[in-house]
Amino acid sequence: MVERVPPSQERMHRIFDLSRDLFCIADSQGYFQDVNPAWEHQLGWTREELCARPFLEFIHPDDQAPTIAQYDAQKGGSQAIVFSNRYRDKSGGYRWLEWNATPVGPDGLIYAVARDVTEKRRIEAEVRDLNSELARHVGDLRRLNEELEAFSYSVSHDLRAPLRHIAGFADLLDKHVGASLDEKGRRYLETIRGAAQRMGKLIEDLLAFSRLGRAELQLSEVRLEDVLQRALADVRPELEGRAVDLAAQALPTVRGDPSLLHLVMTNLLSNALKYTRQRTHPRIEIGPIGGDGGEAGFFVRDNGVGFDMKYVDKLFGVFQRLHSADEFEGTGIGLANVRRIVHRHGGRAWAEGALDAGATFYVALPQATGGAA
Amino acid sequence: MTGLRPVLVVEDSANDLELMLEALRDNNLANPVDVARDGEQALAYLRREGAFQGRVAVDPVVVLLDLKMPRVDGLDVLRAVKNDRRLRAIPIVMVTSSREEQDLVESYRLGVNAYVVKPVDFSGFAAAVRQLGAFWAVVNEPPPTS
Repeated sequence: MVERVPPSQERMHRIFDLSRDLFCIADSQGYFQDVNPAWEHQLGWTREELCARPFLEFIHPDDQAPTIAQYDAQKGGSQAIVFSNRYRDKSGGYRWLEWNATPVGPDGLIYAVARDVTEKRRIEAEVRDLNSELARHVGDLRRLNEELEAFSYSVSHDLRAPLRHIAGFADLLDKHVGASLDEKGRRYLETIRGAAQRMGKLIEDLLAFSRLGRAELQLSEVRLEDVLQRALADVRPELEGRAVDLAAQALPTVRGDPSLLHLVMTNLLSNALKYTRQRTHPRIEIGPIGGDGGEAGFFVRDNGVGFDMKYVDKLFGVFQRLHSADEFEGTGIGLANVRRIVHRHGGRAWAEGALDAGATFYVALPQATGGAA
Repeated sequence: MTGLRPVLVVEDSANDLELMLEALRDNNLANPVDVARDGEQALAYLRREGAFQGRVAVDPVVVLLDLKMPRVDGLDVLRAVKNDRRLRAIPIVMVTSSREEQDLVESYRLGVNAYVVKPVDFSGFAAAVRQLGAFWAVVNEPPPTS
């Protein structure tokens, strides 16, 4: 066995030749005495080319002074150091090298190893850029959010005050001269009051909508069955005195914010009840959707007045209405709230319908954890 | 002074003040109603300083305090009153346009005694003021003047 092991010097040479890191031995005159083949592989210069000129000539002009300082420190016997500089490669580009060198020994030579970290540095710079861009975006978003917050605060206070004055003084005017007004005069007053009330409701709805976008989601496992039962209890007054055929199938359990999902369900049921009002046999059906594709949710189908599919995009807009307020009451915020809540859950809300042939509303929530029962 | 202690209304807007006074009149509240037109005046009134130096030495049964006022706003007044050993027992009701959560939270944190959002219509507002008057000026036993 012993005879087959090469002498130690030869073993060292093999490692020297094999390494992908750049090994070199430099003398005190500023020349390489020897370099390993990795240099040619990485920088394109042959061993002869590298050893023929002072190594400083291969170094980026900006890095020469610091390199000389390091080199002098090494010659002065300073401890092992780590530093970086740029070496010109044969194609004219520069490569970043990270150095590890020993102080000059008794033989007057410096032994050093370098690693090409150009790619690492490029990636690091890219990560830094991306991070600062991300930080900028986060800052923008935070600013936008603060502006929105201030905006809604101002709407809440400053828009309501004059509205209250309109409504309040219309009431006082009524008290003051109401008795002496003719029918027209009374109607004008009523219109002022009604309009102020309505605007109050619109502001209220808009603020609630904006709050929905800001409130933090309180996620838990939510049994949609329970959500449906509570929502049905909420809309009971609207069922009063009406023979509505309600058909509910089993609903899944989803991950979501229970009070917000409750709002979604109540909105959709309330809509279905409203738009089936003129039907002699109103029917509302609630059932499950999904189960595959990582989504789970429900639909609410009614046989009410429906809508023309060409307006489907308007259905979920803020204050968008497909019927006049005289036909069906409401401010037009309900479905906007539904969509906003569903989007905040990362889900989808959409609708299908036909004029005078009912509508179906779908809510699908992502079930990333496979928690659907 | 017949013993009935005043209600202090703090309101900067002339329109809101008129509606408030009208609502109080409507409700035949027996207590006198004093008015401060901003936060500084309200604090001067309560501390019997400046123009209010000669005021009879009784604390109001309740302060109906507007939240949004220029310079010293309702929250500033509330903070000053609740931090003042001599004044902190005086009941303060925030009466405001907004139910913004940040105002609600901050008002209660500072120790407000009640928080009322003014309804848009006058009859609703008058009803709210009636209840406020009935409770704070009649039902509730106010703290003795310090």
